[in-house]
Amino acid sequence: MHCPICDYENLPGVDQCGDCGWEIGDADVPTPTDALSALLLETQIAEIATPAPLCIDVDAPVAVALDLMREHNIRALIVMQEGALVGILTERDLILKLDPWDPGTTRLVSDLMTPNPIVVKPEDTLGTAVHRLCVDNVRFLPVVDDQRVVGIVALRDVLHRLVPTLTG
Amino acid sequence: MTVSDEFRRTPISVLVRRPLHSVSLDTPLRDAIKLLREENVRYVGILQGPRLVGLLTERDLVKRAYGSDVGPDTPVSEIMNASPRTLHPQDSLQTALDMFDLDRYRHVALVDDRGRPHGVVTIRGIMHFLAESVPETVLNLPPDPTQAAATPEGA
Repeated sequence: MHCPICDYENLPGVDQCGDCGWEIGDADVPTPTDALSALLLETQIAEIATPAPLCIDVDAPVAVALDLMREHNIRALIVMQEGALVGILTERDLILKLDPWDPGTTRLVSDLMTPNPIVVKPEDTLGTAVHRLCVDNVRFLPVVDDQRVVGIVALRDVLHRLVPTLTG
Repeated sequence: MTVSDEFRRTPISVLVRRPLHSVSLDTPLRDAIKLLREENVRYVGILQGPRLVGLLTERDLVKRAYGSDVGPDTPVSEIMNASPRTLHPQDSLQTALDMFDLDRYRHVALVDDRGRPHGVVTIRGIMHFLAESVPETVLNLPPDPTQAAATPEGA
């Protein structure tokens, strides 16, 4: 990481220049170079998230979750326990862990959900969302603000925001 | 070349990472789901001879199989999405982008002039292409040491 004051080449990630002591913690934060980079670095997740996502209790029967997903035509449910996010239940979880001819009445959401999902904050950037979706290989990102679930971002939401710039 | 130029000029076939896993029309649902699980894919192609005549996706299963009286021996032809929209391998990424965004597809099969499948492109594949086009903005972000999922969703 290059010090803008004394030209000293520091190790990546340091907060202060090892030569002159200048605060350089933000020196390696990327800056926009074109419209796409600007969109990725300056758009906040709060702008694209779907607010108030549908939630289900961790102890609810899977059949209830299935009905909710079909009724609302959604692919993921936020799983809560005593007001706290504990998991996410997606179509993928159902396909991998439940047979269609299994009535599912004896299985609970907790049996099938993916626990401790990757989350983002409302003030995180669109670039962070793309990073999480690609690197962590997930399709949905619960948006958590001060331990409260305030939204959900799907891969499709991110793509939709990027399309005008990609096709411009 | 800008990223939007790349989307206009790049053929969609560059996003095909693996062959389309396929079954025949009369394959029992049980076997199709087994294939989805074993190959860790979200769709299988349905073939009639060498031609692609349908796709069976997770979405089809959740909407039409779960909670219905569909049994494990039901042929996939009763559940599949028949005559799915397809792309030619030489179509551009831009064309796929429109299908994913405007038409809300998640998987699009590529077929040649004779209707034979040449893989599938996914909305996730498009996102990876985008991320690799601007790595300094997306992929080089610092890790967050405060959180880590034990497994990807569904694993």
